[in-house]
Order: sequence, then structure tokens, then C-alpha cells
Amino acid sequence: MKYFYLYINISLLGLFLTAAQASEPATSLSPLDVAKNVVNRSASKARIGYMHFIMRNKSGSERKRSALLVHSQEPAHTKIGIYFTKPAGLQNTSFLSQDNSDSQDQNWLYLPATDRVRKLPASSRGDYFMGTDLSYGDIKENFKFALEDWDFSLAEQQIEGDKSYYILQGTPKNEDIKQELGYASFTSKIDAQTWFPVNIKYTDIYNAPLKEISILALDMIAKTWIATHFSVFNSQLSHQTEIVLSDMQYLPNLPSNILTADELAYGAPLMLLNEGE
Amino acid sequence: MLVSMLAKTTTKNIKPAILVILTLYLSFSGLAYGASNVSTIWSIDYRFSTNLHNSDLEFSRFSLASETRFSLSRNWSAQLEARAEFADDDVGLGTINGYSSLSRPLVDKKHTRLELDRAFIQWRKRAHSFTLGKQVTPWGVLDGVQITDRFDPVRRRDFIFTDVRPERIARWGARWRNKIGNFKLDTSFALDGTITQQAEPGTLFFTTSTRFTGGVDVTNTPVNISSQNRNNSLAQSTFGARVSHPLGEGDISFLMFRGPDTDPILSLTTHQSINEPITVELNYQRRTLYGATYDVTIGETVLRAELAYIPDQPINIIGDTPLQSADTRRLLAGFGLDWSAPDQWFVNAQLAIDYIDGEELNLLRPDTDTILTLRAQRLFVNGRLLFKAELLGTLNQRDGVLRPELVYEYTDKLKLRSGIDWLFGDENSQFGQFKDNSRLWFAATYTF
Repeated sequence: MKYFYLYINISLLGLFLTAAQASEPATSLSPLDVAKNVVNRSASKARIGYMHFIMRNKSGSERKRSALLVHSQEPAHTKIGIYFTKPAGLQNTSFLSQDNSDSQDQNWLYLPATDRVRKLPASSRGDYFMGTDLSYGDIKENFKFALEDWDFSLAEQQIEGDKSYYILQGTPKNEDIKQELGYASFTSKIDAQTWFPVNIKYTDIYNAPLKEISILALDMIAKTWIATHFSVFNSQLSHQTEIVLSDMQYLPNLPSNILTADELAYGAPLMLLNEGE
Repeated sequence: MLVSMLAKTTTKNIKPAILVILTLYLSFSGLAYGASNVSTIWSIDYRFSTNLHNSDLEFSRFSLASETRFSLSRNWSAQLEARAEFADDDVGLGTINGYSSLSRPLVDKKHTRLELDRAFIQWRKRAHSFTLGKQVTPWGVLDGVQITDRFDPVRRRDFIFTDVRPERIARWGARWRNKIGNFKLDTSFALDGTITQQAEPGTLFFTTSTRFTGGVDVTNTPVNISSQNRNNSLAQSTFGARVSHPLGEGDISFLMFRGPDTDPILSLTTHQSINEPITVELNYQRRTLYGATYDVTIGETVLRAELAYIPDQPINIIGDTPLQSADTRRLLAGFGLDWSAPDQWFVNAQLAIDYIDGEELNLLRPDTDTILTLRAQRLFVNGRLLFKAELLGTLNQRDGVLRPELVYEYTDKLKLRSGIDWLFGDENSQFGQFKDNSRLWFAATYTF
């Protein structure tokens, strides 16, 4: 019988500790801590997969695009290679963006009709990315909020079932950053388990509601959460972009020459799809 | 009307073209069978134009094009592109007497043509590649303004009013590209004497300006035109090399190549028949070009610059007898700017200077031409509608063309396009010679 009481006590102690652990984020984290947890969320160094996006305007008209996406993130630079596969009119068109922390950002475009890789003007972080509702800044930040760009605050925490969410808010640190990003504020609901936003609402530089990013599905790939289905709705234009990522793979050994301007002309590096994890 | 015109043009000629395409693809079926990935794009295009002065329908051309890429293994790939075209007499499909036998269209009937645009196999490993077959060598950083970008022959049958400028003609040859450290070396050898394609006499864009005709007034003087035989592969070949290296935030390159000039000089043939129009021959003499390019991104602008020096430029000159020619020095310089302007506008401006050393020579053209190109474009309607306007002109001759254009993506596969080519200037100048051909044009392209 005494083993039975001991078992009950240990179980209760366990339950108490579990409850204490679950409620810990609600009480002990500052806004900056939450932002840091989001920023420090595990990210794969390189990945490859197909990206399908559908752009809808207010009349319901749709445009569909599919592309092979190769993404590489290193401390000094982020590189994104996009190799269009559909529609046929865009097939073999490819685009490379290189964001450098220590030098000028660079963009290149390869159009098969011209047979040439062309250097493009660097895009401002507030510019829209290839006709979608995502900005270059959104793409670069990868559902994170750069600590050097934002001042953070927290609204009341939300508990839904067994999940808790932080409501993180941010305002740009200065006017220059606000103009560059094209946002005056954001409000994001963040899952305390994955440190991934569930949604992000942005206001424009005049603080009017601008757009909402909704993450619809996450997949764990090589111990890293990746948003594989999300949508962006621009309420000012009544325009929506829905993005689905498929066949996403982690690339442990991305050859250094793949994401370079010269390589764009050779077409999509489809062989890498067989080398991912 | 369009359907009947199209039917009239195509029905009697389409069968041989389709048969050749099928044969071609069957012959590549071995490659396709072995390939781990094969992708083919088909494109059907019909375009026509009406004259702005008299509303006559004067241009109608239908084309069917395919592009197939074979991914054979990690290191090997191949590409095959073919194009069948159909056009009326007044439009023409361009001269073919400048082609070498190997590059001649597979079908070259008067109203029908089937041409192999690309056919090559490629090996690549890391930053090294070797390409063998029918291909192009697109050097240069400016858009459509040919300063150093003179390796390949181009199509001039529609003057410069093509979707892509310049419209290159592929030749048989080999190209080797590699990278050693930060140095990139690109070597190309076209063992193919094919030269620039011209408009046929009597068609819309047949050149009449005396600067291009050796001083002969071809509108009032009947002439027969002949071309050199282009089958001397070695003597009419083009070879060259380019070395590139990063410089600051940009890239610099130096290049050199030797091969037939992109523009011909005219000479009298050695045999002239009595009581017949004079016969002139188009000669594409070889010359050497030394050049340099630089392009750099500075924030939301890209700056481009090119410089070319040709020590032995062949030109026609005014002399005691008709159609005299000489070799002289030529210097070309070009500057360009791309600007990602506010409100999603894109602006491109280019200025080029073309200088011919005319000291002790009576030139048929100004010794210095200053060429300006300006382009602005923007997307509208969920990215479906593209508005583009460009102005191309020679500042010193005060001639040029204004080209507003709308491209509407009706579906992901169908693009509808319309625009105006409004030409102005003296009728003996580069653009002004075609000012009676100012036109409103329409095009529909279905790609699948």
C-alpha cells in the first residue's frame, strides 16, 4: 500500500512540475526574449524543393506559378535561387537573389530567349517579390523579426486547448527602417512550442492595415520547422498569394557553385533533389 | 480574314515542315530514352501588322517553335530547338544565301521555313563546361545595343523590330567555359561561316539607306544581289575568348574575337551582263574586335559599360569608281543604366557612340553616330498586363522609332500583344528609311 501512496505522490509531483513548466513562458519571458526565441529558431543551412504559388485578385482571377526553390542561409549572406517550371512560357527562366550583410545585395535574371544572365537592380526590402504579396524583406526574414529592426512588446498571452501563444508586437526602430521595410508595425501570434508564427499582421507606413500572413501547415525537415503552406492577403488590394512547398529536402552538402550567376543559364539543378535528406 | 490568310499561307507548306519536325524528334528519341529528365516547350505564334499611313495589312507571319532540354546525367545535358515559319511574299522570311550548308534551314521553301535554332550537347562539372553543337555566344552587358556583342550573326529581316534584340543565329562550334579562382575564362569557336540574315529585296525591311548599300540608290537603280559562298568553314570561322573577374561590387571582362563582320560591304561582281541590272556582292569580311565590359549594382540601379576597338573595320567608301571599300579603325562605347524606379516602374537608358576613323576617307555615314535607347515598363492588373514603351534613335541624325506596347496575359498559356512602331527621320537614315512602314501590330502567342 505504501508503494501505492508513493506512486500517487510521485505522479502528483510530476503533474505539478509539468504544469509549472507549461506555464513558465507566460510569466518569465520578456518581449525581447520571445523575439530572440523566434530569431534563434533552428534553420537549415540549405534546402531545396518545389514552390507553387497562386495569385488571386479581387475578381477571383488566378495566376499560377511553379518553381524549383534552392535556399541557402549563411551568416554573411542569404541566397535564393528560383527556377521556374510552370507555366511553359516561364519555364527555364531563373532568378537568383543574394543578400549580403557586408556588401551590396545582388540580383540576377536568366531569360532563355536572350541567352544571357542579366544583373538586376537590388531590390529594396519593401519591394514586392515577383508579383506576389510577399516583400523581399518577408522572404529574407523567413518568418522571423530581425532584432536590429524592431522594438518589441507583448500583448496578453492566449491559451487554446493545450497550446499557448504569445502575441508579439513590433514597431520599427526608426523612420529609415520603417520606410525601407514598408511597415509601421506588426502583430504576430507565435506558437510557444515551435516558436513559429501562426499569423503575422502588418500595417503600412501610415499605420493602416496592410496584409496578413497565415501559416497553414508546418513540416519538420531535418529537425527544422518549415512553413510548407501559407497565404498572404493584402487587404488594401484585395489580393492574395497562396504558397505551397512540396518535396522539401535539407541539403547538407550544397555545392558552392550552384547558387551563382553563371549557373543560372544551365537551368534548374534538378539533380540536387536526389541528394537531399 | 486572319484565318483565311493563315490557311492560304500554311496549308500547302505545313506538311513538309511537320514531317521534318517529326523526323528530327524521332532521331533524338534515343537521347530522350536515355535522359533522366526531358522537358519540351511548344510555342505557337501569329502576328500581323497594318500600315499606319494607309491601313494596309502588310505583315502576316505564323510560327511554331519547340525547345527540348534533355538532362542525361549529372554532368551531361542536351538541347534541341526548332522553328517552323510561314509568311507571305511581302513579308519574307529573310535571306538564306548567307548560311553555310550545314546551317541552312531544313526546309527553305519560299513561304515556309524550318530551321534548327539550337542543337547541342553539353558536359559540365562544377564551374567547368564544354558545349558542342549549334549554339550562340552572347557576350556583352548592354541591352540590344551591340558594342562588344558582335560574335554571333543576327537576323535583320525585321530590322530591329524583334521580341528579343538582337535575334541571334546559332552556328556550329564549340565553347569551353571554366573558372579558376575568381577568373572566369570563356572560349568560343564557331566553325561555321553563316553570317547576318538580311531582309529580301522587295520586303518591308529591305535596306535602302545608302549608308548600308555602298552608296547605291537601290530604290531607283535595279540591282541583283549575290552573296559569297559561306562554306569555307575555317577561313570564315569566328573564334574568341573572354576573361572576367570581379572588380569592386561589379564584374569586369576583357574579350577578343576574330570573325566575319555583322554588317556587309558591297562590291561589284567580276562578271556583269550587258543590258542586265548590275550585280553586287555582299561580303562579310573578317575583322578583329578587342573589347571590355563592366557592370555593377549600386542600390536600386545597375550601371553597365562596354568599349570595343576594331582596328580593321571593313567599310564602303565614296571613291572614283562605285562600291569602293577600305579597312579603317572603329571605336564603339556604350553606357547603360537600369533603375528600379518608384511605384514598381522599371527604367532602362543607354547611350552608345560609334566612331569610324574617316581621316583621308570619304565616308558614306557620319564618322560619329550617337545612339540613344530609353525604355520604361510596369506591370498592372495582378501582373497580367505589361505596359512597355521605348524610344530608339540616332541623336546626330535625328531619326528613330517610338514603340509603345501592351502585353496581356489572357491565361497562363496565352499572351496577347499589341503595339505601334512609329518611325521618323530622313528617308536615307537608319530608322527614317523605313518611316513609310510605321505600323500597328498584333500578336498572339500560345505556349504549352
